[in-house]
Amino acid sequence: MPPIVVEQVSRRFRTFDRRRGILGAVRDLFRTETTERVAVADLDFRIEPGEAVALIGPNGAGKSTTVKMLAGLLKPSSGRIRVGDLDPWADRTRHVRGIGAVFGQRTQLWWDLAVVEALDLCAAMFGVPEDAYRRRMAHFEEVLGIGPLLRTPVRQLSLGERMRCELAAALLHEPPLLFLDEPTIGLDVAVKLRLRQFLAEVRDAGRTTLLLTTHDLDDVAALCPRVLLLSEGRLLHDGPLPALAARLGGRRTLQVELRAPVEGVDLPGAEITSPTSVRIPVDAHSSVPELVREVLARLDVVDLRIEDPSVEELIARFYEERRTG
Amino acid sequence: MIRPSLAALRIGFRQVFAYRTEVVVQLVSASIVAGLNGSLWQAAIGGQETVAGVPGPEMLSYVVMAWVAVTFFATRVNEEIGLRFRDGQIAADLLRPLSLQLNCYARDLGRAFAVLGLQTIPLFAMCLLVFPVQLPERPSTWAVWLLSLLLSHLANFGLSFAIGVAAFRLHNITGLTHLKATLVSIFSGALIPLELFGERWQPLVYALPFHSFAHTPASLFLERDVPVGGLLAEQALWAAALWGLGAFAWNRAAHAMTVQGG
Repeated sequence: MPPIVVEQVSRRFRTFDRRRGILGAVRDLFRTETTERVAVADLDFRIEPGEAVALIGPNGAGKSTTVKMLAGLLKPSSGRIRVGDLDPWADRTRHVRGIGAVFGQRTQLWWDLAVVEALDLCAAMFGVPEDAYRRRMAHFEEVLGIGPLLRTPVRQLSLGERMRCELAAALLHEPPLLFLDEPTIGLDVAVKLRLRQFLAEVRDAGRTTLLLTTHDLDDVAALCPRVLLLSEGRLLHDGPLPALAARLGGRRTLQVELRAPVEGVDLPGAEITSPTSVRIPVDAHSSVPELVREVLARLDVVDLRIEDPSVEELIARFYEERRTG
Repeated sequence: MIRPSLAALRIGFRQVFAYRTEVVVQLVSASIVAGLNGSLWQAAIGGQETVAGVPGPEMLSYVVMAWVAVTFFATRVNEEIGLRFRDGQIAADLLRPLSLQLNCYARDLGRAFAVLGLQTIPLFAMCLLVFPVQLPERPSTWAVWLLSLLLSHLANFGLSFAIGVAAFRLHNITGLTHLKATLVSIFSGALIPLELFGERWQPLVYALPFHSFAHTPASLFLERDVPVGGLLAEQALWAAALWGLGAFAWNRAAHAMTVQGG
């Protein structure tokens, strides 16, 4: 398992600025204007063999760009990436032998063909020996439940079924590195749980370095001891999720729905968000049970729930914290 | 490199069989075009003894065999790459331990082999029944012809691949695709026998690579008085040059590449 070393990596790209209207379109024929945008800037990090790392951040933060550069699909505009002794982009055909990748929105299976054809292809592409192929397939059929799907054309699979097959395809050659770009996007809760459980097993087997991007903090909590937080192409935080949350002052809130409107609530940090609902930050109180007891004693409650901060909220908090020093 | 290529070849072959109706419809449509093409030329040649210096019956055989060659060497790899670039699927191709060019070639060759069995050979058999095609006298000619077809396909692939990867920079290659299709049909001999181009055009016709796509295999099949080895070598040279063009285009494109859509 090679370590991943990223040094001062930036990726810029050009976008065309189209002029408006018909006249603009004609003028565009002769001269185009472009703007250079920065997808990621000055990334510096190192991932050790066997780590499980989550890349989080809002849309457009540069998560996918980073994964694509690590997978060798994109060339960094500047800086250096090393996976073991390979440069992912320059040595792509050798580099990809050692990686498995699932890009949530794309498929590496063949749309028109049965799943098993694509898996056969992957096995042949990566030179998986016959007996190892049979053994791994038996394992995937058991833990991912893909047995009944094998003869179905890919176009007829549901998203959840397809993602399970994608994972099997990505792991068939037992790559030491597994890159997952939003693997749980659009999946229902049951499928998400199943995938997480499967990935946790892969991680615990200790033969695979795991890097995933996600918007779902439950993915992170279940799988990744380490979090890289990106925003606007820059690395804002590198460390465990609890540390990130703690650093931002743990923004879990208690949402309370009331039977009748209230004028004010005499609890620290309480905020009335609509006539019959109140939001109370959990961290301003000694413990959740105590806060709940307090709330139930004072208010006529219809419903209660605890909400975790979203990635977006964490980042918003992060900026707030930095501004206020 | 060989195992991954064979795997890609097998996928290309398998994909042709994915839709049964499509296989039948393609054969029917190819037969209609071939029948029409042959009949038109049969009528045009009429009873003339020679057309542009070529004996009438040989000319008819030429047009039939040129069309048979088209079914084999025609490739849509440019459109395929363009589409895969558009929806970002190209990422999956780049995750294979194989250069994009070799990957696409192996897949397209697999497709061409399936097409050989499902279209080229049935079409050829049908043409034999309908038109008085001159068959080779030497058995070795069949092997030469097949080799020549393979080289036609390779050369055409090289050019199509170059156009396909141009999509990475140009983002829309519909115009280029049409231009190439037009040049191939005009200058390959598929639409018009190359002998019919006037004196002044001959140097241009033979300076372009396209004549080696359909004209060369047809000439070899008809056992014309031509240097067999020389023609095959010329085809191989064109194939190598166009492969090089594809490699160059890919090299340029890869630096600038973005994987579209998130």
